[in-house]
Amino acid sequence: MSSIKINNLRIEFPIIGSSKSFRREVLLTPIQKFLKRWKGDEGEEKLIKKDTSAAKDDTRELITGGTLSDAKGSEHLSIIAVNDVTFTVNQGDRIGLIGPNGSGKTTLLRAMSGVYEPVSGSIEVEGKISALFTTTLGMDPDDTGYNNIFHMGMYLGMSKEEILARVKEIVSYTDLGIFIDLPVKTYSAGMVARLSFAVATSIVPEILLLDEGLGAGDARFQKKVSDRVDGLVSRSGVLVIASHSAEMIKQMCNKAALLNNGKLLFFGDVEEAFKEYDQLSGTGA
Amino acid sequence: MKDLAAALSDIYSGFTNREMWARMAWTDVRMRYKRTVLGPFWATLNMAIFIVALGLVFSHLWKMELADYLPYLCSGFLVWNPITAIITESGSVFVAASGTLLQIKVPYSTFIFATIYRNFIIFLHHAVVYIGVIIVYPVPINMNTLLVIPGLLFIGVNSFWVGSVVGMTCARYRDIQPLLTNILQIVIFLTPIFWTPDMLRGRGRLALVDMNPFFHFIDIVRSPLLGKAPALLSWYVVSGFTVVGLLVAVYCFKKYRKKLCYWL
Repeated sequence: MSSIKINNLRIEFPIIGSSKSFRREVLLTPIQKFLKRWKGDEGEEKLIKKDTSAAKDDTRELITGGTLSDAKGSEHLSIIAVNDVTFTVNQGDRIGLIGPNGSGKTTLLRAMSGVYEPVSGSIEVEGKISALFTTTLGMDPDDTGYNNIFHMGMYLGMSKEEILARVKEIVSYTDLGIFIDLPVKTYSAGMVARLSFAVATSIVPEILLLDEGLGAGDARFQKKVSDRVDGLVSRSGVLVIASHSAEMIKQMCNKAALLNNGKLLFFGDVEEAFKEYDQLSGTGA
Repeated sequence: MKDLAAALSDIYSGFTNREMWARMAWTDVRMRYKRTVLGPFWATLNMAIFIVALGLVFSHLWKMELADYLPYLCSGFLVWNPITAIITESGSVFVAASGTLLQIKVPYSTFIFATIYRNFIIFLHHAVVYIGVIIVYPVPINMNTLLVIPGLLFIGVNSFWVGSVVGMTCARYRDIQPLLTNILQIVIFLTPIFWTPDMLRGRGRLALVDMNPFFHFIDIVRSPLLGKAPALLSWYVVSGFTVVGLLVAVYCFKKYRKKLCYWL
């Protein structure tokens, strides 16, 4: 039984610039402090303070892309990409993440996959996560297509035996013919995409995370693609997909989560979620 | 407690993920010598030329017999190479892996083990030169020679904590890595590799030999390679560094593992 429980999740990205590297922290800060006292002004830091002076408490909303935080006592300015999000995904659920650019869809997906650790709150995952954000991880252009099936499969969490069991099917699916035994660097971009797509979609995921849909190849290949994605999705115990395509979400998902500025505005029925989304866009927020 | 468990699980699952780090290491080595005729044996050739040229000049300068000096120089340099490479490469171990680390969940420690293994592969290619040297200028081979194995194991284990501590520090403060490279360039001359410890007396010897951890780390492998037993002090120093280093590494993993992804 697979499930994901997200409780009051918060993800914050510190903005670590070169000015705040070693130089500033070790050398400049004491000098700046001294100068500040000597000159009696606030120097550089004033700029930042002024910029955030419009904030209620210690944050301010941006037009898009999370919330800027300049909490007292924190080391850096940071962007709150996911803010106090709580929902539960159960076995069999197909969740669509929707929302405008910078609303936190991708960050939330990455947090579910375990790439980003929660700054506060928690994510409890039961089941094995398969995240297909980039399908070409582990690809070695100098090696043959056949060997690359194993390399990429390993990064997708498959064991050698699992890959061996599926390699024949993968090879025949790619339609690469004799090219499968040539180095991947001799492939066209479309052929590379087909190979990585074939490997990625051969997994048997318990929990599948997708950022936008998967696709590859020319027109002739497209039909095979959609069939294969359908197969992958139906094999998975849980699906979470982030997309801007209303059509895809409505077709694939039974629930939707609407995000805006890192906050969860709505979680539940797909149609209702899109109604909320339209309202949000309609008011220009 | 939860953080500690997560830290230990990262280290354990990284280590048991042998297939992945072994492959990463081999790919890196192959990439480096891609489409060359000699492949990784370029490393062997580079080392051979360096050792012979330097051996001729320095044995003359120090007025030592080539038969004594060349095995000494070659064995010392053979051990120095992976030590310095691991310290400098640790500086970019996580930063260079960010492409993978921000896409899928992989134990962070996997990349440290890949770095260690890659340098072990290169070490074996370098070792060919030493075998050549001792065929021409034989050194005693006895029970002490077997101490090479624990010596290398110690270096391997210490590489792990160096990788963790340096890797995380450099991910956060990018200035540390160039600084380390700089320091190591000097350390090679301050450590008895090109010169022998008995060339120094008194305070100089105390500072550059007895109190120099690099000397002890080199000597636990170099002395056995030359058929001698390393000094007891070397074992003590190395063991001390191992224990303290590993504790610091676990602490770093516990404290900073969660933050690491935001520094990349």
